[in-house]
Amino acid sequence: MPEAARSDLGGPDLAAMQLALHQAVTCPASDSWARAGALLAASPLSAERRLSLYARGYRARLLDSLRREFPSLCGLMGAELFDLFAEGYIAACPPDAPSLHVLGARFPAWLESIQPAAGPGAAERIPAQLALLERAWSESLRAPGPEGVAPPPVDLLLHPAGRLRLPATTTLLTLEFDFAPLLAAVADGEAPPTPHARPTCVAIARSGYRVGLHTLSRGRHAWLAAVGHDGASALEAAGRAASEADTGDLLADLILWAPLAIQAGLIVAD
Amino acid sequence: MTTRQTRARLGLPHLGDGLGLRDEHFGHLMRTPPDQWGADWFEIISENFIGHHGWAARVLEHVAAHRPVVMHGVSLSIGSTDPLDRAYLKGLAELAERVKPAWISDHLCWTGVGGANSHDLLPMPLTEGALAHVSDRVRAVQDILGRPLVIENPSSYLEFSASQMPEWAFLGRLAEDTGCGLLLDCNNVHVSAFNHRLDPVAYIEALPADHIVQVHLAGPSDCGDHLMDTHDHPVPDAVWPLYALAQRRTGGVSTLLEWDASIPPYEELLAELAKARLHRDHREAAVA
Repeated sequence: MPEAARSDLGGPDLAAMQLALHQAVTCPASDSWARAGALLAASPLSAERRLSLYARGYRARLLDSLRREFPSLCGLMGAELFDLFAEGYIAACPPDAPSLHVLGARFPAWLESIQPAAGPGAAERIPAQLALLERAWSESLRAPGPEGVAPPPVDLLLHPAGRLRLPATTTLLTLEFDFAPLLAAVADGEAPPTPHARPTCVAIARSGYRVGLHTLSRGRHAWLAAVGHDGASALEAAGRAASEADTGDLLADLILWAPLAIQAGLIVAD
Repeated sequence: MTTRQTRARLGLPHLGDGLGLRDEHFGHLMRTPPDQWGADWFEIISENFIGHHGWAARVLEHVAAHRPVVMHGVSLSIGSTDPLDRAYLKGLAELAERVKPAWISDHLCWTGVGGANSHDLLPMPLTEGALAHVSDRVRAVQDILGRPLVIENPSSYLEFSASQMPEWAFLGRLAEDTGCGLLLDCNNVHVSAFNHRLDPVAYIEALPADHIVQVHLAGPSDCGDHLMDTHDHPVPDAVWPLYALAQRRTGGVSTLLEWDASIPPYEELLAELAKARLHRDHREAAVA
């Protein structure tokens, strides 16, 4: 019976012991430490001190993971303020997956849920927007990408039957700020500038295992959205995008831009 | 059922001296011809590669094409009272299919309960009930993976008053009951022995030597009244005699140097790994 702890051998209830220790490690407080401390063997170190070693390790490991995944947000906020937000997030959304990569998945939505009510482009909205961008970057690093996949023909828009799709490494976002200068500064180890409020269409994409941020016109963004991860005809997607983006000369622009989009890993043949 | 194992290392190969494969050295390994890597094999942290299809996966593919690779996990949570995580095991099996590891290892620990995950290697109460529980789960995992699991002794900072046996007895009985292998982390023995005032030599002497398939070396942090298993220092002097003892008792097993924080340049890792050979040679000379 591998699915549950055996209870037919006498001795303590393993599940209860694990629950007590887990609570002491993840939610250190006097009552949780008292419950777990009562389970410990005698030692030259106090029970509180031994439990605190695990509790500190838990906090440090998760904060380090979030700092690594959201370096621009951490740089912009400063580590102290970032850690305050991160600790609030960890308390609200404690890790529940074997991979630490999963830990940051809900951070953007959590930041959005706690941000003060403010209109588009207000400074209060920067953290959630930037976290959304950095999470997409992180996911692009790991997802199945365009590497090793035969690229579509560069004149794909001249082939009515040609189909395209966005690889899992491409994410389209419409943001309220232009984060490109901030990301570039952080990558160069410089102090991050405050982003300008400006409606910005971007794509995160990977090519040659390198992830990049691409600022897009509304028409190109709409075309990529029409192509989507499920794939579509390049020409039909162009038609839908021209209508949605109200861009009359979009097809001519896309014919010229498509080779660059392929090179950047934004699209692959479906 | 007791599975009596008599073949050394469970019949698994002696891979030589290896290094933990870490992001910091990806560039070096991709730029340098494999015959200049200086390590006989590499160990990966399984969770860093499960579901990964980016640069890390490409590097691993390259490394695995030229050297044996071992998958070492931190999230199996073999001691947890939660059900086994089938999705995690599926990911582990899929990674094994890609990497063709020499073996798959994890720790005698639990990482969470109630669906939560602490991402820490939490210690087990060493009771008869816990032993039966872990044995059942080791057998189940071995059935799923279709290979013997290799279990590592953890470092720990606390013990339970309910424990009914020392850790070496728990591990030895686990190995003999399930046929699993043992990954003897000499640094962890050193850390736990210091923290719990145990005899590290007695610990290693008591383990069933023919189940030990691998040894870990690493450097902890000295925090005064306790040692922390930080993997951010050279191997301390106190660990080398334990390593020599492990090699003597087993007749020789694969050695792996772990270094996970404040990671030095690759050449410094190789220099630290080379000390293992010196200590083995010294031991052999002393025996001769």
